[in-house]
Amino acid sequence: VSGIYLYCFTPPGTVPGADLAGVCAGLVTHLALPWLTVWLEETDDVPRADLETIRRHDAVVRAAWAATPACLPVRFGQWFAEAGALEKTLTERRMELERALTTVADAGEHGIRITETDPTTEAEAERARPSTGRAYLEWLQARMRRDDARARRVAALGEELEASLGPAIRAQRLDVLPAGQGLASVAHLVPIERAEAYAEGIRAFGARHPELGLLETGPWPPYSFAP
Amino acid sequence: MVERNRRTRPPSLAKPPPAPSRTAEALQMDDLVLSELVSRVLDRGVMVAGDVTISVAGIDLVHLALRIRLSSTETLHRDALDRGRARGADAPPEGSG
Repeated sequence: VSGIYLYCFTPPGTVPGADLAGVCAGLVTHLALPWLTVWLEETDDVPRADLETIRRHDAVVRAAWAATPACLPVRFGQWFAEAGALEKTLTERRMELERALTTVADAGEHGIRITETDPTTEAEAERARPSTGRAYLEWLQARMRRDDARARRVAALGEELEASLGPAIRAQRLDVLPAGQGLASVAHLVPIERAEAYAEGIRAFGARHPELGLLETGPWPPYSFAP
Repeated sequence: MVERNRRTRPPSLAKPPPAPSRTAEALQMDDLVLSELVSRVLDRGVMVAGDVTISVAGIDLVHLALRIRLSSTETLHRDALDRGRARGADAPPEGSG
């Protein structure tokens, strides 16, 4: 074995199915530590960097997520030369990983892309870019002010979302998107038994903000809440 | 996995803009889901091996991620702009009515 490719971590006791295919044409196996199971693939090859490989990685993580109440996805492309080095690294982070497994247990990640239903003004301001001189510096200054205003607006929306969803979410991650790509990308960690309350909370938030578009995806394995 | 476009509600208008076709909406959601998938798998999840990722995946991954994200966000933005323009074209001039 020349390398170990990682997919995810689960609590001890859950193991991959016997015929689960990995990203390098091998089968997914596991490393059982007393406190953690590592889903991995032993391989001589490095994974190809293409969309199909990304989908395959996600499929393995989803298989683990379906098989156990707690799953911590590993970022794509994580590779160790041998099991001893992997075990040493994981042991150094044991408390952090155990805590994270507890946080994500029995929950899924829901994503929301927040867009504006009328971004025309901002888009026109971006297009009206002067080419030289004082006008350009003033345009840059105006853009910085717009960026600051966007960040403040997104922060306020995030606070409102978090407060209104209350116990329907266990955690929230908020990323401001660059101008021209929508307002924000939001990830929520939603306990499975709270999924209906969460959906209702999002509907209510949307009703309060007709100026926004809410594009929902998920549930996903909890990628955004892994340490 | 469940993906859906929850709501895109136009503000009050004299005449609503034309609704995008079902196919356009489906394509928009496909783009979004693909973008969200790539973001999660490449940018999130536990980092264990640090910079080893770069040596395994190589620069192609960065280009792939950027291309997919730009494609999907451009689609979303273009759709929103089209709606904005449609509203502008349909809105009555000030003082009319």
